[in-house]
Amino acid sequence: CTTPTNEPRTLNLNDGAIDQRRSLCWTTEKASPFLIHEIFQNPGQTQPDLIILIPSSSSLAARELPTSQTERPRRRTAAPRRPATARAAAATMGATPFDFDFDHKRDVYGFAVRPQHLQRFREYAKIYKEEEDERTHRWKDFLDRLADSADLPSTPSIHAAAAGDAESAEKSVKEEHHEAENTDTDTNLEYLKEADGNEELGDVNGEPDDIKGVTSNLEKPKEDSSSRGADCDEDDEEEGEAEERNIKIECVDQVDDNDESIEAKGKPEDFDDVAGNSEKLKEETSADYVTPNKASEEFKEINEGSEEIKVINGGSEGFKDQNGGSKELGEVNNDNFKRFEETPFDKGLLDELEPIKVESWRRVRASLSIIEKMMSSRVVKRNDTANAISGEVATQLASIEEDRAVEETHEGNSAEESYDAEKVDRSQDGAPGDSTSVTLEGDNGGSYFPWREELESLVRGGVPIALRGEMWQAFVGVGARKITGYYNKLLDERTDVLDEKDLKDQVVNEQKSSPKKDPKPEKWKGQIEKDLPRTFPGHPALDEDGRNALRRLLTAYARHNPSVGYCQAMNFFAGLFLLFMPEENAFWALVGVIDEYFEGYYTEEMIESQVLLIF
Amino acid sequence: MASRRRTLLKVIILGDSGVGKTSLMNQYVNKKFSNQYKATIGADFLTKEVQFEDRLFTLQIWDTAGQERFQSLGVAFYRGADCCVLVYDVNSMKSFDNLNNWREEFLIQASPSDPDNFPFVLLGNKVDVDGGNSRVVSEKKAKAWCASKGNIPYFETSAKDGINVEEAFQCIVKNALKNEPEEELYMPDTVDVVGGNRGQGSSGCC
Repeated sequence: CTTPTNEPRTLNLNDGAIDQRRSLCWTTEKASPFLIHEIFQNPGQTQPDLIILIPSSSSLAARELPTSQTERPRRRTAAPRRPATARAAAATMGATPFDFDFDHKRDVYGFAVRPQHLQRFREYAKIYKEEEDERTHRWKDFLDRLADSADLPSTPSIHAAAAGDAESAEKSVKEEHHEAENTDTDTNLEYLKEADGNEELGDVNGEPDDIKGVTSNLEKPKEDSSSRGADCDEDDEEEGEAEERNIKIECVDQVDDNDESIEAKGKPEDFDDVAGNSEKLKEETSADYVTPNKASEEFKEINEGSEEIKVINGGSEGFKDQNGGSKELGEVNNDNFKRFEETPFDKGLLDELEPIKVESWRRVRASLSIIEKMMSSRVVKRNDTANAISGEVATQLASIEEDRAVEETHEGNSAEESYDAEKVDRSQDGAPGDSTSVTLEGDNGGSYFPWREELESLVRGGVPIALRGEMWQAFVGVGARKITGYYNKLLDERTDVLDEKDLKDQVVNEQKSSPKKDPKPEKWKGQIEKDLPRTFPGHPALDEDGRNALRRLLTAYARHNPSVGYCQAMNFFAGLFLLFMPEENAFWALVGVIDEYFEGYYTEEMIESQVLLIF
Repeated sequence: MASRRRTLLKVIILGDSGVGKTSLMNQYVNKKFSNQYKATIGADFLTKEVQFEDRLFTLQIWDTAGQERFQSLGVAFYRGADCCVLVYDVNSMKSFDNLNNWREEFLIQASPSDPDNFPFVLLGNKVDVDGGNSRVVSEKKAKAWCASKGNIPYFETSAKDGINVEEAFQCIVKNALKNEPEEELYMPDTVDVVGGNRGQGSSGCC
């Protein structure tokens, strides 16, 4: 990490003067966990530096990777090529920023190249394009391998969803998942044996491979459920494998009851289904998530516990999925289960059901979902009524402050759960240090991701433009953060004042210091209006629609986090996100970045920014 | 450390968001106006060589972010300023009303040795807008304010049309120099970041 410069210029995000590619590492306490990596410095580019935020563990931040990691021979995969959707997905502000456009003197992002830089820009353009092609190739290869090896459960389910055939989809998920488990969980099985020394495991070892795999996944939850005194019926689980559908419903019922939630988690088959569609499930269910009942709150607590288990036991892909699934279930109301059962895979129907006011939401592509999963393990949803925008959308996002938050949760809970925590700790201690077992990547929720180093290396080399929007989302954990309806809710709150005319009035009022009519003025409003035309001025995407989108985005964020409201600089973040992703995705990305990565920087006091300046 | 003749003048431009601070600076330094300026985040500065009374100075003009909360960062930027330029928009009463706040905040954070006589210059910008019809702050009112603060020089400017910009900055240079006239000024040790010969790292990062 290089010291950027001793000039104060580095603070100026909108300064076009930073021409060289370089990394910034901010060493304030809050920022230090994150490596801020600037990429794609185009000569003459006038946009703010593009940054990608990578939550770092000690290994990530400190170590340079051997070049062999990046130059490993490329394996041709048998998998069908997945259509590149990013291009279509991006540019919601109306531009198609991914073309070289020499004639119009704009760079690939649609930003005007300054006349004095145009010459250099053209000289470099060819090299840039070659590099970009190479990057694209490398990433594609990586993602293909990823999708083939590690992400079978979710990939086919997405395909199936597209086909709209719930039945066959489920089957294919099942089959492919079995295959995956055979290979993936064998090593994990050993780890579990060592760590837990569970007797049942010995019995199951005699079983066929795929059962073994499944059972290894069961190990952890079982331990948990017994510690909770919930009864964990072995037969049920065997059955569960044979009659997935029935058990699934049963499992859902159990979750309804909440008491046996942990046992429910012990049925990986069911939850694999759930996890494969976790996002969808979330969309589906949280749409109806009106008032969180007490039961679901309890469930959430339990699931925070399971989050930690996941960290420990992350070596098992399947188990991770279970936890992912159950985490999602944590938000589910009883009422929602019915709907969930009816349309667990029908994405098309889901879209119909979900009223979308603004052009909004798009999933991250399948091959990236596993990366998203890895990153999303950092994201925990919990109740935070202090910040809740209203009682109706009571679930607030909050970042997991490493493990601390989880531990606090445990402390606050019953003795039973404390016991769980201890147990978890113990098994953590017992984890063998070899590479096939769980490597606890710092506090990062780093599960077993053998490709992680390669990913880091790839990120350092730059993310291809076509992938960038989705990669950002995956890294920020947009999928895990999203609460369906929240964004629109924020915007709806005062639809009246969102009217264009009223906004103008407001600005005029403010400027003329006339008494304000609004009893609860949103004081950042005028500032947002001022900055809309001053965000990427001249960029084709910032036409009227683009500015309206930007206004909505910033307004929604300000209402989401009133303690920050609107701070200059957020407009550039938001604008940049809008260039690369649909509006609602951009909102959650903004939430992730400002709430978490830049917590304290943009508040009224700007404490963290002061710290940054002083050092 | 040997003292030497001062050649660097540090000037801070303050004022509400959108009054035209960046535009004024760019009009003066680059002789250009654009209606496509981006919102300034944190601070930015430009330098310009100026000649004054047969001496050559480097004028370092600091352009700051206008949003109120950025004031809390002021201490880092204001320190060592030789002159403070206050800018308001003649079409916005609020930006005028906030001048007191900006001035006081500057004096607190920059803590100059002689606050009562620290040189300020006031610029009423955007006089070109709408042919002056949308103007809400009269020249008289502005001058009265200047008088009440110890005869602060006042200019009515248009960064867009380049009206009075050159004159204003000439005045700014003059006042910046007046601050500590003809003194053999002491320059504090500069921190040698590049050389790295010192035992201690001077870098704050990593």
